[in-house]
Amino acid sequence: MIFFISLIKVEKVYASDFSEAKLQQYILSPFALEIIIFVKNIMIYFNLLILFFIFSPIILVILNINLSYLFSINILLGLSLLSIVFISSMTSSITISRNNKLSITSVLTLPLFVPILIFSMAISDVIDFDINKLYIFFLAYFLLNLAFSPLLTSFALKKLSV
Amino acid sequence: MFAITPQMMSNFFNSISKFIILLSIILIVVAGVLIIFLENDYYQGISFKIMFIHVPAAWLSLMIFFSMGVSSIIGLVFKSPTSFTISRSLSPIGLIMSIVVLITGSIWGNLTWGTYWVWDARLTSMLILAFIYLGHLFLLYSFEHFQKADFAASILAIIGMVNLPIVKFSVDWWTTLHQGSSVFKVSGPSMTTDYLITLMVSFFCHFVTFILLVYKYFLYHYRK
Repeated sequence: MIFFISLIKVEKVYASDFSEAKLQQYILSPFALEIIIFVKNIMIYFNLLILFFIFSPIILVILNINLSYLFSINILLGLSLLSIVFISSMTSSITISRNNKLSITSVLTLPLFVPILIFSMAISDVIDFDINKLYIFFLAYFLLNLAFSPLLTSFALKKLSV
Repeated sequence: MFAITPQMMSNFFNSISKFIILLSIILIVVAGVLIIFLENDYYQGISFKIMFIHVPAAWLSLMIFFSMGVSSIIGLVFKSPTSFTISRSLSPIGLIMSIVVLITGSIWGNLTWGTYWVWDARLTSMLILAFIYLGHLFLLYSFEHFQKADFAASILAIIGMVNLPIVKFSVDWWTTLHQGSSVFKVSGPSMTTDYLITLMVSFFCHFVTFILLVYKYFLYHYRK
């Protein structure tokens, strides 16, 4: 659910920026586009995080998960959500000027998001949340995403939105 | 090196096409004979022979995606139209190979594990690869200008390369129902020589057919 909400949100933000020619302004502005993208994604993330923090305790109660795990699971989901926002920004920028209306962003985002899903689910299966190999994979994927996503997004926007 | 034009590539493919067709026919015959006359496995019976389609197709689908990623990087860095055309030609073949892997794997899984599908790390990562191929193809055909489509698809191919080590090492990183690597191991292959030879012949048979398909797709995109 969170995945689809964030995907739609990010896609909508980038599509409206493109139709209102804000993206062209960002490209022409003296600031580095990578930084603008990074800040923009962080803002979208905080926007989604409010929703997430409201619903996460309710979901934990519904799924009968011990509330002592609330902090660890929230950290995990919070980082996953940030990854989704960055991955979605990449795929939205790739598909921004396509000529057909078929939404292929979810087809592109889903496979890239699955590693995050696999690693975070595997970590949540470990009861004591120790630092283990899965955490390292999860963090590595997360950091790679955080580092390269703004670069690729800005590159795609420069090439495809003009 | 990157000043190779599509015309040069096309001429090169034309000059070697007859040789490749001949080699392909010979390899199909040899692989067929080897597979038919190979002894059945003690535990799995005749069903294990599906391996000679499944494993080469899996290797090829990974190799094709890696080649797509590399040609995309070359295309983006050196703005080489040949690299983009190669990437375009590889994408549908990679998708076919990954679908072949998933279908043959399901059939083999049903015969040995008793189920067509499990959300196993290797199977899931292979499914992800098939989806990335699908996304790549969607991108190629969803733009009016093919240069834009090439750029977009190249970025996806580069991003998608992150999935390749996950597919390869999934059997080592997680406890999976899928068996571990049995050919490319530090300690050497863990299969008998006759199986290994048949597998290699089968792989070259797939590889040569793949070259032929690339040639056809390359010509198609080049003429377009």
